[in-house]
Amino acid sequence: MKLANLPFNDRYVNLLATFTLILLFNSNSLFSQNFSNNEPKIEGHIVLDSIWKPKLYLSHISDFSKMYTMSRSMIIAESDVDSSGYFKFNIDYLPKNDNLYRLHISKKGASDASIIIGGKEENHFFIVANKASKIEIFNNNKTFSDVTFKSDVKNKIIDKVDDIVKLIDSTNYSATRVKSEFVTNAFNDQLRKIADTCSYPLVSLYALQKSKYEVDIDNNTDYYQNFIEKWKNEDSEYFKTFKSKVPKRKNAFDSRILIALSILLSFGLGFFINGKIRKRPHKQTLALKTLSVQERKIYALLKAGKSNKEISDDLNIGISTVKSHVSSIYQKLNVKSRKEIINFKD
Amino acid sequence: MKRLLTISIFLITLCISHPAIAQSSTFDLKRSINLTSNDKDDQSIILNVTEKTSSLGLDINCKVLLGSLKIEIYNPKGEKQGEFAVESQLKEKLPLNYDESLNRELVEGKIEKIISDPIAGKWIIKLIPTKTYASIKINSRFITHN
Repeated sequence: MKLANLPFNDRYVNLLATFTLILLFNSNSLFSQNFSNNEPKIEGHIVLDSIWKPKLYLSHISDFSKMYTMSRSMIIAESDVDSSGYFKFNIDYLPKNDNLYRLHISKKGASDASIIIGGKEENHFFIVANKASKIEIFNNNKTFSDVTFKSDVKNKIIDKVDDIVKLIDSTNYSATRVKSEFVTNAFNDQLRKIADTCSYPLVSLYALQKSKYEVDIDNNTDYYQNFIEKWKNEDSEYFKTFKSKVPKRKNAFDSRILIALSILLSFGLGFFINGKIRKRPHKQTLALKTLSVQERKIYALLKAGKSNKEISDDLNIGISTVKSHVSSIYQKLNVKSRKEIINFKD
Repeated sequence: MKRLLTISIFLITLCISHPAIAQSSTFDLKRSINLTSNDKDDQSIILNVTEKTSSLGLDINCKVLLGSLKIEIYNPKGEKQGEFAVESQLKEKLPLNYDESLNRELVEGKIEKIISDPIAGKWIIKLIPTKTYASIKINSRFITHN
């Protein structure tokens, strides 16, 4: 059936379908050229002035304190930017957990490892990525650091945080000191709210980092302690450093347990020492153990109140031998008379 | 012709009536510092900002060939206002055959900052070198209203 013969509505639907098919075909061929498949990568299009080298560098930021440190040892990959502005990093070798990275460009004639902070020529921005990330980036107005992320939620939040920080900076450029302080405080509150509600730990911490939390910890300790509680299972270096800066919460429950344990321990120790003392052999008992077999027999007879003659007869030994044994027993038991022997406690 | 005259009069009147345009002055201070590996101690560059300073512009450039250099900016209250660090992969000394023109190991850092209505007092730019061979250029711009 010819298109002209169709009713208006059908003709309209057919035209729309054809147009959509053409559009789909074209967009598919565009994506097959650059944004080809679903593999992990960081890619995008950037438009730059001619002062910049057509090359992008990806650096790993192992700690938030290194965000503004430039070193060649931090650069882990580089990508050429083609004539259409397209670049791509394969990132399947990155750690599986989110880490912080920095993308930067450098000026023609300058070192590849260069960082420019502030001003229109700021040459870097930060992203959060892992080995499975698919990040698409576009820059706006030929400014490298002013970027847009397509679809990637984590980096869209990072971008939002960076936009707030830029607003703070621009206020500092133009406003009076008092206004600047008010605006900075308000925006830092906003950053803390983002950190509070964000469900991605590293992105959340990035927002806090940008709020300059270190000067706020003393005034807002509870907030930071709650934040740590929320992310207590996070043990990356980023979180370790952060946790080390926030004073630990004094837990009343813990201290009660500690007191109870101390009391129990004291009682236990008391019982143990008492038991040991009770079990300790008596001094006199110890002295008795020094007696020989024959001396013990004589000692028993002495305790029974027998004379030397009786002992001599009972044991069938000479009197002089009995006297010698008795003398030795006196010495060993440190006694001076038979009476003391009779009273001697076994 | 009449229109041009009107615009000229308007502009002249604006300039005279607006004290910021009519009575502000700009003072630039430039310093260059070279550090060698013998410079082990931190160095502080002090910028005296007066009550009349309405804007302070800072532009700090540094190039490091050896070791590392950290630069921090503090306001008179001792609060850090900015920082960056540049680290060379060469830690001890330059290789004998090193060709400086290639800039293979050179690392560069730059910070631009404009502070409106800066706190009066001593602003400090702290240079913290570690076995470094570096050149630093500090441009500071004071805009004052008389």
